[in-house]
Formats: sequence, structure tokens, C-alpha cells
Amino acid sequence: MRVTPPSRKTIRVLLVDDHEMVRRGLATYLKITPDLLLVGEATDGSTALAICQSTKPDVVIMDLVMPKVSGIEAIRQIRASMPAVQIIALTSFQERDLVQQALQEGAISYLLKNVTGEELTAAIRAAYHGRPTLAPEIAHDLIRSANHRQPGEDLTKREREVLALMVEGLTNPEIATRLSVSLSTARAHVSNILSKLNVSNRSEAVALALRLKLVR
Amino acid sequence: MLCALIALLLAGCQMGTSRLVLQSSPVAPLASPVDYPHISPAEDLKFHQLTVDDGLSSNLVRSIVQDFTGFIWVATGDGLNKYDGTGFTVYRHHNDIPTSLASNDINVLFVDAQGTLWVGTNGNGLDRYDRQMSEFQHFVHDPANPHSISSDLILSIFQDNRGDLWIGTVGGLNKFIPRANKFQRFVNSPDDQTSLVSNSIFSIQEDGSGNLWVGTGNGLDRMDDESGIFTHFRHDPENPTSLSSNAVLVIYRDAGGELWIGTEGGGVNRYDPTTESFHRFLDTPLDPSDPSTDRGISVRAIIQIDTNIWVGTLGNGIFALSTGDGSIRHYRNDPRSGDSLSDDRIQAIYPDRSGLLWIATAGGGISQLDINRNRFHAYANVNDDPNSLSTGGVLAVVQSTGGDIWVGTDGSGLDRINPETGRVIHFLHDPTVTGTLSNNHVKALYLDHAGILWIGTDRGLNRFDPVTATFTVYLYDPRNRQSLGDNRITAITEDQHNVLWIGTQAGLERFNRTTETFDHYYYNANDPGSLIANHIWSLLIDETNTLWVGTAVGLDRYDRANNRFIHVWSQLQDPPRLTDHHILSLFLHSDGQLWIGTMGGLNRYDPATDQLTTFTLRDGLPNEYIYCMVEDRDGYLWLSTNGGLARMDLSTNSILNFTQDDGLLSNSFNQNACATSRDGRLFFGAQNGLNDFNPSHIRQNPFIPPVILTSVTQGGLPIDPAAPTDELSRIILRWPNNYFEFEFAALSYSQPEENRFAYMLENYDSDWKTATPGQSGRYANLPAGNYTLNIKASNNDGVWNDTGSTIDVVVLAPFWQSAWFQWGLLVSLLAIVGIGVQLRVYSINQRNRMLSAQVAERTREIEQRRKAAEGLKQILILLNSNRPLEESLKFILQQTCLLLSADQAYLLEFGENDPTVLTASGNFEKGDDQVAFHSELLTWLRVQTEDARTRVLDPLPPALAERAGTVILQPLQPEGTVTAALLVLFNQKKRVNEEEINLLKSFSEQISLAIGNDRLRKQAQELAILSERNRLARDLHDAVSQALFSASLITESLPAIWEKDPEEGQTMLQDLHRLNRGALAEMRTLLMELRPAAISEARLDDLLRQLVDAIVGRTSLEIKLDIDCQDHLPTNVQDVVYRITQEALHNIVKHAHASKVHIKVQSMKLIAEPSVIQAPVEVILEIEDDGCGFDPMNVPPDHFGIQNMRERAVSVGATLELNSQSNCGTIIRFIWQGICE
Repeated sequence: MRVTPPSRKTIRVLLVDDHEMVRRGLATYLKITPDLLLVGEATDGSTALAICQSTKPDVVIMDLVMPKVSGIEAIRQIRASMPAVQIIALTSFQERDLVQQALQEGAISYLLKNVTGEELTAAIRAAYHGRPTLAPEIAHDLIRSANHRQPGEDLTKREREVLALMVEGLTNPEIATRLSVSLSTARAHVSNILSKLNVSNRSEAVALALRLKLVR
Repeated sequence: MLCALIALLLAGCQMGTSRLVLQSSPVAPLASPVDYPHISPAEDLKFHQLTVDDGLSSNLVRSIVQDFTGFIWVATGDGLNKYDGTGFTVYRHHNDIPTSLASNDINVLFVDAQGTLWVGTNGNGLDRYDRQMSEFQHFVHDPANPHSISSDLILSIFQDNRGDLWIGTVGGLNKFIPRANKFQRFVNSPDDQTSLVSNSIFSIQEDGSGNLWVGTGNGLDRMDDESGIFTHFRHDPENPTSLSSNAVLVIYRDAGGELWIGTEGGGVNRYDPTTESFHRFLDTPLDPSDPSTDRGISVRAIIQIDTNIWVGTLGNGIFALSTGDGSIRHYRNDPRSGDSLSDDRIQAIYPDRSGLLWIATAGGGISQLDINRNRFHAYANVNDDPNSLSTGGVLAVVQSTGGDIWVGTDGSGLDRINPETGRVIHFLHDPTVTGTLSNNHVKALYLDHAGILWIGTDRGLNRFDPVTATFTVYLYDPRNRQSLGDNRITAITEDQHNVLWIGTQAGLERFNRTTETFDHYYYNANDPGSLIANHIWSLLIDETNTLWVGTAVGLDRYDRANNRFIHVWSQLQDPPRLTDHHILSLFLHSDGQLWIGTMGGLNRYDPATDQLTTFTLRDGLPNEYIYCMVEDRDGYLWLSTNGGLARMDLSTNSILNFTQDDGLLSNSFNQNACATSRDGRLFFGAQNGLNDFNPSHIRQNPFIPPVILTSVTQGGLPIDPAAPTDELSRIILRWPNNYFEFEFAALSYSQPEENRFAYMLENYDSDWKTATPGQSGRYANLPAGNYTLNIKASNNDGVWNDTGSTIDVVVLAPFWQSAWFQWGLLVSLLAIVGIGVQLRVYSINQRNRMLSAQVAERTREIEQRRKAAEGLKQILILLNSNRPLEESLKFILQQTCLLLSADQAYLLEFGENDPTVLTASGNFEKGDDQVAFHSELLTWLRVQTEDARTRVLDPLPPALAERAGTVILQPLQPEGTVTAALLVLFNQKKRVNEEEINLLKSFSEQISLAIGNDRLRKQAQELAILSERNRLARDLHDAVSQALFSASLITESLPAIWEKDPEEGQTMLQDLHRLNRGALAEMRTLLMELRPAAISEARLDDLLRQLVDAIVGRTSLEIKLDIDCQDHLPTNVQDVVYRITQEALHNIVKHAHASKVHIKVQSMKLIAEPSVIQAPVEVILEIEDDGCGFDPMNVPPDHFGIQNMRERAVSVGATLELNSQSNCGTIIRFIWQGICE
């Protein structure tokens, strides 16, 4: 297969992902895109910076959840030492705090791993020209969270009651008894509360509730 | 500005003669007061304000109307506003938009009988609003056109009973001719006495006989219906029954058909048609001593509310004239109070359909009056007003026989209120004067059978003598054992024998009237029949004349016969039956039930059945301190708490709560401070005054709010910008834009922030979702189909509009599923092929036909492959999304038929139950074209799949043979064993080639993936709920989605690669297969993790092959698997073998940097005796890799999970060896001996 000689308009791309098959897939697609040149691959956040410095890419496609050094950390390192390099976060996860961290550390775009090859290459070109791309799901989520600034605003009356009981220190069975609901209903309420408050466990929810005075 | 205009016009209207109607005789006024001391400043109504702070365009509000949908339109001096309960949409004039509002300066709004909104501007003509187009249509004065409107300064708009629209301007009266969009003008003609008296038309009205009345700046005219002659009514200074002023700004027709005329500076006139004369109200200066008010009031609005005529004035607020008793209440702005009228300059008053009053003011925005929320009246202390209630909490209240309300306060003595006049008389303790109240802390009041008022204070019992207005005092006298036992009175009651019982803080007293002595009852620790406690909290006599005594530790019943106190409920009981033992209050309902109010809730005792029912917060009580209880005429039980008042419906036990927000003085009420009056009013004493109200007026807001959609957008952009959102009945979404957001409103304006919403997308949601005002809804990733979005809403009191609003949502399938696309694709492909062929022929003009045929053949192959790749890619995209399983399966079947050129395809399921047909696809022209799958056929097919091999069925069973010439059966193993199969039918007989078989295998893998993916997702959801967002749930899906993502990228690149280099394309396809298999294996592994019993159920070689496939799918390791074990291992041993292999493989992938792995499993019989059935065997598992990644010498043994593996081995009595060469290569050997099953 002919290899397109790198011209001035060719965009140099570096892949960082710990799944070999994902790298294969990305590499394959880049191969058929003439204006994009794959200049290197890294399998881990710890080697990403070094490989980046030696291959000098224009755009890095960075997976976020990797074993030794996370993608967020790698983004930070690369942006610190090579600020001209643009980084696209490509991951399966769309948790809000992950998105915010990635964008805060300097990633210009955030895509999910349900993106098509065309969308990905378009994002690479856009990133090269300094234009960000956000996966629609992420964009919607961010807009909604910007509108609903105050966490806990969207708690229903019942959820507030449950949150109050959580703050009192009641366990799920105790909450279920207190509210005369089934245990799975109480659990579902707790789960929804954690989701709406965007925390991952009870203590965080309680801390947040107290701090923001979400319960009396 | 309007006022200046009016002044100017009035000045100009002095000219012009007119025909006067002269009264023949003076008319006696009907109950209309003229003397102003009767005007009482009223502060009992609470107004709510809407101003620029809420989004209104300007605080100078001129006119308010409500359209048919329910929106409120507000005209101001700077813009037109539309209000929906959550915010204002402002319409302004834009120079560059000709269909925008003609001017921001608007005088009057009107909604006609067809629902059209008319806007009369202050100098830029008349506008008509077209809702459909969101445009304003302009009608302006054209000097050249006599059929245009007579002036651009619009003052009034009116529609008569015939439907004719009348527009009053400064240049005459106009009648609108709708069909021609023309106006018929009526102007003043100085020579014609029967013409309009003046051209300034301020108001237009119709009387009961169909005559049009026109209020002008120079008199009041009546137009005769038939003749068109104007009869004039003018002010005659000599005649007090003539019109009070010639500047007629308002004409109002009340419910009885009477006309009320509001003038500028001449107050209000009521027209008497029999005598053709006028009764005047408020036409003389309010304050004769004040020279600045030299005239009567200037009226801007008149409206009838119940039996009152409300008059809105410019600068004097609102006067409410009662047609009943002739009293006048005056409402003005009070700068100290946020609840008063916002401004005294009234411009208009408009009642909406729910009864809410909208008051337009010049400078204070809008004042709203909600009659429903203004039902609670109060007596409270007003600084410097001796004629108001004393300060301090109200501790007791009772109505005396004369009708006066007696109020006991905490520290300010006793008040006596005359409810008619509002006059208050205070009684205070004066130590220097005998016969005064004994103490200013009045705790209890009681009216006995003879109408005598008894007053209990902190220092003594008092009896009031109405004749002398003095108090007879009873005090504790240590020398007299028969004197009052304790001075601190807490409660007073009288039994049916007219005996007075008095509760104190130190015992219960029984007063003997004749001897004026007291008998004492005390708590005696040695006597269980004595009072339960000395501090009495409440007393009650029931129907059987039994005395009930409430204390802080329980409730006693006095057994008169035996002179004992029976402790009915107390804290001594175990378990306690009452909600709480602090007995705050007692009440006997007219139905005989005894109500007990405690600090922990409410109790109802039925003496007949001895049944006790309790009520707490959970039953709807606002608060659990039940201070006082009364019954109203309708049988409701009213109670006061620390959280407001509650009304209980005894038939349903439902509770309605009222708080300060509803108009109560306070939420904190006082113990035993409540009473009823003989006319049915209720009184409740609170910490800051006395609330009184008519309970039959207190009701929920019954208005059912219209529910409308206010916006429907997609990514923030309106889906259908042309149509008005609230009329949208259907939206159509196309993939990939299968998402939308929407906002809604409930057009009920009483406390709109308390409105509530619920919405549900039928065919998608399983339940209603709730929302509060300001929240919006959103749906994304909608599968193709037809849905209906239902939205319902409730008003502030929870009255629901259950029909609500609906909108159909149609989601069109992605284009690749539509027939036209596939045909189009085929056509374009054929066209491309055709062109390609031509080009090739042209460029290689020397080639012979065989070559061009070859080329054409190759192109066709390429196109076939490209279609296959495209199809696979689409499938992968589908799988990567979260479509429902059925959709994915159906699509895959469709693709199968299409790309294999098959005629029918079926997906069969062989579960634990009978085999079934899951889904089907194909060219079914008629229903009976499908194969009839009898259970026999299905069972036979199931048997054919048992060896898990693809087969072309031959010979065909009859059920299939009558439908097809060739049938392929492809078994599916989503979880490792054959649980499904794909059946592909071709009408004709044909030979199936290898490429088709491979394609079929790909499709079957996709189906297995789809099924497994779906199962995984469901598991993940369940796990998420069970363990509060456990990370395992997330990781569960990760491995599979990585594989799917990679696969989709590869298939996307396939067409391009194939074109350039078919061999590389083949390699890619192999990679794809590997990926698919790997993903499948990964998935099966994960499913197994969720159901560990599966490990023991599966066959060892299947298990290990699955592990290997998963690894191979993820990496480029070469793994050889040799399994030579016929025996069935015991469950725990098989489990350990699986786990050790899993662990070892993970280590190799992570650390070993190996390229080849060899896994061997061998079993050997230890005794060479074939007849012994359960002979012991030795099983060896060997895992060898060629990696150089680790040196067991230098690494602690429990790194890499070696310890784990050793422990597992030990647990089944096996040994584990680990050998590592010095340079490269590692062998793990597991040896077990035992008896197999």
C-alpha cells in the first residue's frame, strides 16, 4: 500500500491506549486517511510523555483510564512540557468529573468510544486548528449542569427526605422502615441521590448535603 | 403621559354644544354614603407584586388581558409582555422588522370573541396579532383613505354583543369591518347635534338593550341602535343628579346590568335608566380641608367583585364600595408593607379566568390580588393605635353572649373587641384600683351557662360583671382551706350540673357557686386513684358529663361515683397508646368523638367502641404540637399547631394545611386559644395576634390550570420555529437527531412557583416523571417509532389537570433502513459500477471483452464486499449504541438477507423452555409466506444444532421444503452453549460458497454479541442499583465496548483498504473475526463471573477456549490449546483449573512480554483397570510462555498472584510448580489426583 509522504499539511498523530486492539483499530483507520500520519503509539500514561517528546506529534489521542499513570495525569504532563500539542480525550466514560478534569488539564476535545472513524478524523483536524469538539452527550450534560448550577436542586421531595435520613446516619434498611417503603425502593432512592449529586458514596453525599445545607 | 393628554383633551372639549338631558325631579339616592368617616383604610388584603425585577418590561402598566389559551398579556409604556407563570416574553418594536409591534408605547389591549389579540398603541395605530405567523398586522390612519382608522392614538377597544369591534381614538370612534379590513368612522360634527359630542373616545360599553355607550372627554353619549343618533349626557352644575363630570374615562356594566361611569375628577356615577339620571359617589374632595384635593377622585377602572364595586383611581388607590351596607374600604400603597398595593395610580383592573385580580399601576408594575389567599383576617397590635389588639401572644379567646370577642393576652391583660365596629376595649390590672383584672397574664377564658365570663390569670380567678364592668377576684388565701388552691389558673370548664372546674398549676379545683368555696384534688403518690399530676394542662366535659383532665404525663378521667381518677392514657403505660402523653388540648366533636391534642400528634377516641386512632406527621399534619381544636359548621375539624393551621376532613381523614404563606399572622399558635363565634367564624390565637376567618371561605384553589408546551427544541434550536409552540401537535425526528428538549407551563397564576408537573413519553417511559416550574424535559437516543408525550400539571393547591397536553413524537428510522435508501444505494452502486466499467473500457481501449468482463466481475465482487463491510459497520454502530435488543436483532437479520441475497431469515431461541422463533425478516408478501414452525420442526432443528456446526440442511423437512430450495442452519452460542440458531432460506436451490458461509458466521457472531451485550447491560443496571454505583458495573461493560469500538473502526476502513489491496483487506477481515470472537469470549467470561455456577456447568475445554479467545481477541499473542481430558472433573477442581489459567494468562499479558503461549491439559488413569468405574486419575495443567518478563528469584512470591494460585491449588489438594528459565520462558504446572465424576 502506498504511503503518503508527509507534506506540510499532514497532521502528525500519536495514540495512547492500553488496549492493543483499540490501537489496531485507530491505526487502521488513520492509515486510510491521507492527511493524517500516525507517528507513534504508547500503551500507558507513563510512557506517553517520553514518546510524545520523541515523535513530536501535532495531536494526541489519549485514553483516560489506564493502569499505571492515568490519562488525566498524562494530559497534564504533556500540556506542561509541550503546550503546542493538542490532546483529544477518547474514552468509554462520560462521568462529569472525568470530563471536567480532562478539559481542565488542557484536553481540547472529549470524545466517547462510540464515535465513527469520520467523526474522529474530523475532530483531529479541528483540534489541529485549535477548534474543540465535544461528544454531543457530553455537551448536553455540561450545558445542563451549567444551567443547574446548584447541586441538589433537582432532588425530588422524597429524595430530600431520604437524604435527610442519610445525614442522620440511618442505614438503608432503617430508611426503608422509617419511610415505610421496600428496601429496594430505599436503595433506588439512595442511588438516584448519589447520581444527582454526582458523588460516588454515601459519605460524600452526606458531606455535600451538610455543606450545601440541602437538608434542615 | 396619558393624564396630560386627558387634561389637554378636556381643555379642548369645552367647545362644542350638545343636547342635554334635563332631569325632571331630583332622585333619592339609594343607600349611598356621602360622609367620609365611613371609609375605612383597609389592610386586610395582601397583594402580590410583579415588576421589572420579575422580567416585566416596564413598571408603567396600562392594560392587562388574558387570551384563550390562558396567557396573560401586559401592555406597558415600553413593550408588550406575555406571561406564562414562570416569566415574561417581551415583544417590542423593531425598525427593521415590519411585522413587529408598531410601537412599544401601548394604551390598551383587547381579546375578541375569536381569541385574537388587539393592541392599541399610543400614536402608532392599531395592531392585530397573528399567532400562527407570530406577526403584528398594522392598521394606521391614512389621511387619503376615509376607510382607514380615524387616528393612530388608540384609547379604547370594545366588542359588542353582535361581534362588532369598536375602536375609540383621539380622532373619533371607529367600527371595524373585518372582511374588508376597513373602518367606519363616527366623528363629531359641530353642525350636527346628533353626532358624537367629542372625538376623544375614552371608553365604550353596551347596555342591556344593545345600545352603545361612549365615554368621551366632553360628555357621555348613547348611540341609538337603529337610528345611529347620539344622545348626550353632560354635567350640569345646577343638577346634582346629572353626570358628575364630562370627562368619562370608564363605563362598566355590572352583573345586574347597571352601568357605572368613572370620570376624571368627578368620582363614580351610577346610571339609573328609568329616570336617566346619575347617583354620584366619591365626587367631592376626600379631605375638604386639604386644598390640593379640589375635586373628586379620578377613576381609571371599575369592576365588580362579589357584592362590592371596586374603583381604581389615579393617585388614590382603590376604593371598594359595598353595595350591601354602603361601607367603603380604601386600599392604598403602604411603603412599609410589601403586601400592600404597589402604587396608588391605578390604570386598569382585570380578573383572569381563575378569579385572580390583575391590577395595572403607573409605576408599581402589576399588583395581584388572590381572593382565595386572602381569606384569613386578623386582629393584631398596631403601634400607636389604641384601638387595636394589645401586644403579646393571644392565650385565650371566647365570644360572649353579646357577640363581643374577648381575648386574653400574655402580659397585656384582657381585650374586648366589637367585631362590627372593630372597637377594642382594654382591661388591665391596676393595683391601685379594686375591681380591676387581677393580673395581666390571662391564660384561660370561659363563658358559663349563664353567660358569665370567667377569666383565669397567673394570679387568681376573675369573674366579670358586665353591668359594672368590674372583676370579682378569687385568690388563694393560706388561712382559708376552702379558698382557691393555687393562683395560677390554666384551664376552666363547666359540667352539665353547672359546676365549675378549674385547673391550676398545683391541682384541680371544684368551685361551689352557692358557698363560693373550692374543693381541691391533688396528686397523691400513695393513692393510685388520685390525680395523675398537679399541673393541669387542659379540661373537658364529655357527653356523659364526665370530666377529662389533661396533664403533662397523661390523661385522666374522673369517676364521679367512686371519686377516683382513672389514668386512661399515661406515660406509665407500656406500650404507650397515645401519640404522646403531654396533653395540650382536648375537644369534644359534635359526633361524640373525643379529640386529644398532644405534643406528638393528634388522637381520636371513640367512647362507643373504645377505639383510639392516632395521627402524626405521616398522616399529613403540618406539625405535631396540637394546640387547640374546634369544629366548623361543615363538620371539619380545625386545629392549630406550631406549623400553622390544619383542617381535617373527618370522612376521609385528609388534612389541608395553612401557613403564613396563606395569610396567617404566624405559624406559631397558642395552647387552648381558639373559639367559634355564633355566626360560624373561627378564631385562633397566635404569638402575634388573633386570626379569624370564615371557614367556608377557606378552600383550595379549584382552578384547573391549562397545560401548555412553551418550547420544543433540539440542541437548543426550535424544532418548528414557524408554528406557535402551544399549538404544535406533532414533531418528527430523524436519526441521528433523535433527541429533543421541551419546556412547559401551567397557566395558573396563584403562587405559580407551587405549580407541579408530570410528564411521560408513551411507548418509552414506564412511569411519570415529575418536574417543578423552570425545569425542562429531555429525551435522547430515541429508537425509531411513534410516541406520545403527555404533560399534566397541578395548581398551587395540588389540583391536577389530568388531561393536560399531548404531542405526538415520530422518530424516523435511520435512512439506511429505509427501502428507498437501499434501492438508491443499489441504483447508485450500479451506476458507479456502470461508469467504472465504461471508464475502464475507455482507458484500456485495446483490451478484449474477456478482460472487461473480468474487470466487471471484480468490481461486482468489490461492491459485494463493500456492502458486506458497510452492513457490518452499521451493525457495529447499532451495537455500540444502546438500542433495544429487538431492533438490533431485526436489523442484523435484514442485513443478513440483503447481503446474502437470501429470501428469509429467522432467529430461533432454544432456552430452557420450548424452542421459539425470536424474530424474522425477509420478503414476506403475504402472512402465509412465512414458514410455519411447528414444535416438531423446532425440536428437530434444535437437535441439528447440537454439534454447533454450520450446516446446509439436506434433505429438507417438508415444512421447509415447501418454502425454500436451500436452507442454512447456523447455531449461536452467546454464552458458550448453543441456545439459539439462525436459519437462512433461499427460494431457489443454490450452491453455498465459502465466502457466504464466512459472512453468515460473521452475522451470527454479531447476533451473539447483541444478545450478550443486552444481557450484560441489564446486569450492569441491576448491579448499579444493588451496590450504589459500584465500579464493577462500569468495568463490566468496558472490555466489550473497547472491542466493539475497535471493530467498528476496522470495518469503516475496510472498503478503502479492500480497494487498494484486497489481500490486506482479507487480513483485516481476519482481524475483525478475531476481535469479534474476542469480544464474544470476553463477554461470555463476564457473564460467567456473574453466575459462578456456570463455571461448573460448562465443559473444561469450552471454558479454556473462551479464556484463550478473549486474550487472543485483545492482543497478538499466539496461544495453543491442547486439551486431552475426557474425564469430568469435580466442580471445585474445574473451578481452580479455570481460575489458575485465567490468572496465569493475565500475568503473561501484563508482564511477560511473550509472543507464544502453550496450554496443555492432560488426564491419566492411575490404575489401568478399565472396569473400575471410579478409578482415580491424575490431571496435569501446564501453561508455558516464552516471555522474558519476570524472574521468580527476584520477585516476592506473592506478586503476580502466585500466592493466590498456590492457595487455590492447595484448597483442592493439588500442587503448583513454577519453573522459570534464566533467560526466557516460564512454565506453570498444576497437578491433581483424585476421583472424577
